[in-house]
Amino acid sequence: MADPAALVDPAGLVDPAGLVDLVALALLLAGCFFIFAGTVGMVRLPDVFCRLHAMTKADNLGLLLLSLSMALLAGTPRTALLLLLVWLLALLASTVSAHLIARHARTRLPPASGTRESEPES
Amino acid sequence: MSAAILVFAAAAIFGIGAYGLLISRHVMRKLLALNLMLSAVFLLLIVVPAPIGGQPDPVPQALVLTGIVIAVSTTAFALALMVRLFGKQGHASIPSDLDPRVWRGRWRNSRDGPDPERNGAGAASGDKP
Amino acid sequence: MSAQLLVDMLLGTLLAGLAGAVAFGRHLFRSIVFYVAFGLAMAVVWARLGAPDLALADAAIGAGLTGALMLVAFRRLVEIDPERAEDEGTRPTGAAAWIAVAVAVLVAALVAIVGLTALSIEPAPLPAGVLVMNALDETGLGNPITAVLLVFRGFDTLIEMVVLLTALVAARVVTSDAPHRSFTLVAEFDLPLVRTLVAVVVPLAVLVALHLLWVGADDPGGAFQAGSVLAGAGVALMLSGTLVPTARSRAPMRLAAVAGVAALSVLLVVPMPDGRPPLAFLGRGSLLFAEAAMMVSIAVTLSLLFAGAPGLRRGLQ
Repeated sequence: MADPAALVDPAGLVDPAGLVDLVALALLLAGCFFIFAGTVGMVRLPDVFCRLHAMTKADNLGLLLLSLSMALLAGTPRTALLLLLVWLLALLASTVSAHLIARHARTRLPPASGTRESEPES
Repeated sequence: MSAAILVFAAAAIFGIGAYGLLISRHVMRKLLALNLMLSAVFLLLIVVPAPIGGQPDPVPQALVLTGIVIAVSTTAFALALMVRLFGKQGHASIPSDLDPRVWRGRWRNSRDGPDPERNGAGAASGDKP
Repeated sequence: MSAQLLVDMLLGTLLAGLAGAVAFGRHLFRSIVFYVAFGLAMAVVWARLGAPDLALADAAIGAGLTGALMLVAFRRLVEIDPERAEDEGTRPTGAAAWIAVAVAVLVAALVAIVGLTALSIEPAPLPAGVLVMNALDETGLGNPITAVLLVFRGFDTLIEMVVLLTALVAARVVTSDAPHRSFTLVAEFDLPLVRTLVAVVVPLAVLVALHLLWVGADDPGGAFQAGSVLAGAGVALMLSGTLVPTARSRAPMRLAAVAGVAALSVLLVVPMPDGRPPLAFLGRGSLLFAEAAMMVSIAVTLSLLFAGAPGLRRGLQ
């Protein structure tokens, strides 16, 4: 990314560095909103499947937005790539763990009881 | 100032861990509580010494790094012991030190010598026949 | 400044709240899950304090391996007797509970007083740390923690590896006459999706571990972090059925378990002139050698402790 100081408009009307900060802030807030929404869903929704539905989608989008914001703030392509990798790994892990939790929940009855471990037959 | 906040957090975690250790009877709960207390000590060890060049003091950091690895290995050993205890006595609980029946059992033991039938553990936790 | 203070307050509250959820949780399973969350929060706190080495170690061990060990132990209890796995007998009530509360409050107050007093009377850095930082150039290392672990306190690290080995042997002795069914781990995770995850994650974990080992001399990382990441990969392999616990341990496994102790012993008894610490002045190669051996030992020891079995072999796929 180019040196922000070289791009500053002399009139001070458009400040690219400030603009980047502003976009990063917007992404950050949007990410926080999605993660908050996912957490509310996690706490408020009645059973495992609804919670997974709220948690996985909203949180992954939120994490993507947070990673984008951090990448913008860090400004180097290397950090951006690492953050992207972090997001992809988190995506993979949450996909598989959501699948496992849902699979476990489906094989036991009733669906909305406590967190006691039980043996799924498979 | 932020160090003081984390010292308070460490104190709270240590207190919660001590409570859990005293009140719970399941061995795994006691282990969880012990691990909480360990984390509090680690936090204190890093927060309290003055930083050197903006970084926490390297000597306590090395101590804590060692401590984290030791803690996980001793926890694993204790868990292996717990599984054996469960297999042998049918439950994974040991009597709490706060249970009056344990005190009575100990007092009786110290007076009459150890009695395998009615020592504190057996009387307090109701062994499986 | 005040934003940082706010972050610290939030982190402190989060830690204490999660600790409370661990200690007061009604289901044991739930407490273990909260303990994993607590380990993650600790990792965040280490990062906030500027201690990335500890953050790496606690993310891999506190949040990963300890939780995995607890969950697999709980699972074994459930396998033996699902009815009584969580059985606590009766909890102390009345006077006993109040005694526990009083003791906990007193202990917490004591810790707070000691911590605050130490904070207020010790504004200057401790001499040991200053000495380490001053002698850092002499060792040729960039990471002061690696310098402390391997150069200045090499014998302590050797003893630590011995403790790790002792824990492995002790756990082996305790489980040696246990019924063999406790070796059967989770086969239910043998699913296509999980196999894909493991196929992606395990090579990456090995890569990360080697990277941590390589940069550990100068940057955050080192044998402990690398070993815990590798052990995490081992746990993933076991959960997917690629590695299966066996009742017999083979020679390579045993050699790997003692490699760290052996390498450190050999390097530490090399006599050096002027009574200097041995490991540093044999050059980078010896350091990397010792750290690689430690990494392998830590990974194998923690994996075997997770398996609860003397050995591992390849699974069916």
